[in-house]
Amino acid sequence: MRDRIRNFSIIAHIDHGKSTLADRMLQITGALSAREMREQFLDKMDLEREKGITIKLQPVRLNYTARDGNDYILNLIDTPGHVDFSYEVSRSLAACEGALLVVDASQGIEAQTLANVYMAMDLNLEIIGVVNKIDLPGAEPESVKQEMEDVLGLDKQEIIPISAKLGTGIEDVLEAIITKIPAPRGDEDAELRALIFDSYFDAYKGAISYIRVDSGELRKGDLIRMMSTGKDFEVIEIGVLSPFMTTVDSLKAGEVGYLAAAIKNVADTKVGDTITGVARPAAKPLEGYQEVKPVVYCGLYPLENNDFEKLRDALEKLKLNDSSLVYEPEASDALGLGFRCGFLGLLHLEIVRERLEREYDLTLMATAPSVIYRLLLTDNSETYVRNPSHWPDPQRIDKVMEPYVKASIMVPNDYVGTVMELCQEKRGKFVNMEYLTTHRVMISYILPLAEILVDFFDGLKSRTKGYASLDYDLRGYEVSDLVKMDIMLNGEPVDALSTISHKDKAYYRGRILVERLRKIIPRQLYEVAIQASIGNRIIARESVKAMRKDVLAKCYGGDITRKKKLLEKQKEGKKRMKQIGRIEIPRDAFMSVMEIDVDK
Amino acid sequence: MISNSEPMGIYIHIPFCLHKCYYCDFYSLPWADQDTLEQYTRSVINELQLRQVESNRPFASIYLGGGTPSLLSPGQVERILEAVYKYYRPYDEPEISMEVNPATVNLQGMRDLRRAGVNRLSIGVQSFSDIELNTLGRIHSGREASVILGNVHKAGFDNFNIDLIYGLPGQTLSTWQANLSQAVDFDPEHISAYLLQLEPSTPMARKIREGTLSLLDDELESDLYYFTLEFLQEKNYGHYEISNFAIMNRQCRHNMLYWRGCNYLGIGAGAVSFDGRQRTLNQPPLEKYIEDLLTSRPPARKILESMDSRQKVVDAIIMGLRLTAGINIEEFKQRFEIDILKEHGKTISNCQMQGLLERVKDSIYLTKKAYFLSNQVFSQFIS
Repeated sequence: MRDRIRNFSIIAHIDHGKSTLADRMLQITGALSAREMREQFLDKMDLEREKGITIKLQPVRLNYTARDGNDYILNLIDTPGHVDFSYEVSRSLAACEGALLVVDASQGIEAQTLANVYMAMDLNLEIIGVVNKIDLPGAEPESVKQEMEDVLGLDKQEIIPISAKLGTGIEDVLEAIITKIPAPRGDEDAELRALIFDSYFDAYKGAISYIRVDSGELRKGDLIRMMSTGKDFEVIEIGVLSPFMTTVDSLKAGEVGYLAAAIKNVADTKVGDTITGVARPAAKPLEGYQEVKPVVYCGLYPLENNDFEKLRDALEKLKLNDSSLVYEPEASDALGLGFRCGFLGLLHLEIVRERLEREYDLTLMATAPSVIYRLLLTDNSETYVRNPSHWPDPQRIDKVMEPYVKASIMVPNDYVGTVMELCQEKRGKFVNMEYLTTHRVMISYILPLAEILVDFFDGLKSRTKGYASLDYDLRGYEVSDLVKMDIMLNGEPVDALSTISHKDKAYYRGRILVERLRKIIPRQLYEVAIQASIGNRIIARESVKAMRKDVLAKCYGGDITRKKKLLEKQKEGKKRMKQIGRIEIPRDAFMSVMEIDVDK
Repeated sequence: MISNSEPMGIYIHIPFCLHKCYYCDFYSLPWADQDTLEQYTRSVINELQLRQVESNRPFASIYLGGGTPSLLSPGQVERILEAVYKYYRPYDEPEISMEVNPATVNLQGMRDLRRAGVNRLSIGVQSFSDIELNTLGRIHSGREASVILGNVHKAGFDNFNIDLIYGLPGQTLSTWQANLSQAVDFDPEHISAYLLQLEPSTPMARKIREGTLSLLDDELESDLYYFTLEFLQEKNYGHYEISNFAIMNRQCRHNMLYWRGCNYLGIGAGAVSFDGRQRTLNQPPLEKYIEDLLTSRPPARKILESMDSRQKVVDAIIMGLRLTAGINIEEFKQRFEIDILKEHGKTISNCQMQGLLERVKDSIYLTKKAYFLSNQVFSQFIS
């Protein structure tokens, strides 16, 4: 049985055709009828389909009759392609024996792909090279194959040319999966050990976990134990995704499926935990995942103050499905009660926020994203600051340190100059430059993480017509000349608008922010002074003049009703205002000031 | 409780115009022929008769508005006024106002109107500048208006109003001052000076959207307004409502009824009535109105709003505060049976803190600064 199972995932850069390839495999293996088929089938979230990306890994089971006449079970674990989600990639890779590496025939290898392939190689996965989109006019499959051989050491003779769109070469890929990827090892008769590689919350069934059984066998009705907590549960339902949930009686070593055990408490199914049997418990858990640490933080606040508990509940549920999310409650003078949340990157932040809003029906305000600063204080103590408004008095700060990354940028050699220029603007330190092929270059820079967060990626894309790709690794903290910039309205600092900025950039940012606020703050009954300051020093100021006119000149018997409606509208408008001190600001506009990158 | 004998006002709407002004969105129709005017007169008289059962309150005022009521002949006006007196009881000596477009009357016509019973004219001058009149789409010249204004007192009226509009595209403090001075030179008892109010559906609003006309900025509009206050007060016109000025005892009694939250009977197509509980609209179109009334069917009416006592109080507050004398707490208590300080104390003190309302003894009134910001006050009272 086990030798007829293949567990694999697909590594690809965004837009290189991973989801289309998965769609084709679903079709060819008959997992989906034509009626059930839709594009990006495995990307279940609306968000994924809209953005054309994969956020969550998604297992699916395919039944395939190979050319050798045997029936095989292929477990495909789809993976995300964005740098923010490399953690998800590592989890899905850990559940596989092999991986397809899909590279666009007109684009070549991208930086992020490279990082994921190295991750797969470290896990000893068998890599099958695939060149996709060979039907496109700009396709250069031969030179891309050469690049894959030169850069990754794959044998170019074995790389499979396909067009997922047209369906060419898909069977070759399926055959290669069977012939090249080893069947899972593992003893069906040993104690049960199954790895939870993902989970989510279902309103009816409780927590649903995606698992890969490493050894032993899991049956419906079994009593199982979560090895990290020691808590026991009875298995209510097990099954496979083919691609719809299909119940089975047992899952054996090497198999991938899902499990429901009426687990009400979200914290009880930890991704990376090992499940064992209560009757015959395993001595040692499987190697779990390294906990990933968030690198970017922002405050999330419900627009309606009384939605705070709803937000707490939503975060708790989302965390089950997204273990890299961290959060803790915080209070802001300007925004009320909310949470400081940590994310793996900006895309992650954006996606979590959108999921909270869509899946949990919330409207949120987000403060500007911030990295974690490390501060050495004059009393020799050390502190980490995640929220700019918690920045200590400058008198007490000895040294400020910020996180740096090593960024690897892969780019055609025509764009080397412009990419280096961008990196210099973003306070980068050049490390080296390496020709991967005659016209493809890998440039390395040490850059402050904060600079990468603020629209670096967009800048890179626009300056290189989309040809550059980026990957980065955290490199630790370095001393930096940073200051806290406050925004004051009529002399009162607005905590939600405080930001940390490099000294050289603070003036520019201050001016921009103040100017933006001037545009969005409607006239009040009195003049509003808007100031940006560093410490006691005002670096920019603007003012909104006092309101001079708000009057209905005519109001008689015939039109009282209509005039009252105008006043009611005005009153409604006030409700949509955010009260900051004595000043009323339209909430939407205030949100946009908080969130828009000043450097854009 | 407001006593059932508190007088009401009667408003009669004449929805015809020779030409629709570019800023106006009232219900009116292009010039009607004599037959239609006659049919309409008969319809109005029939409505007055049909609706006499609605209320036994006496009337303190009659107001013929439009549209252009001066398109009616003095004889038609006289018949309408006779009908009012036939079916309703006067209170004291009622004020009988009529709006007049300078292009539609002459000295004789005004004499005839006076004889027909009208005792107050409201002359729609708007401006003495032909350029400004042109922008507004008025059909008379500044000179024509002057001729009429010079004859009002001669025609036997001792009470007339001049309507003026400020805030017109291109207007400056000095061109506005020129308009005000000319108006004052005719010794009107009353002046209404309105800020141009842009109604979205009008041709003027369209021009502004298209960018072929532009409005003044708020600062200049405010300056024009407060200049008006100073200017007219110096000429002994009391500022008694946000946009209205009158010499002693010549405030418009009909409009005072609106601002004090009193009842009014609206007669004619497009007229609005208020019976203390509901505001209702006599529904256009005109043809249907005439058809109904000439066959003695009551006009089709639409309820614009029904008010509970709280809403009624809010209405009375936002209308009452338009008057510079404001609201008398004691009188308000007697008429509406509520203590405004108790029910709306928080809003009142908030407005006081903002420097928008003032309270002296029994009165609450807008501060001078609040006149041109009065929506900031009113919207706080709206529930």
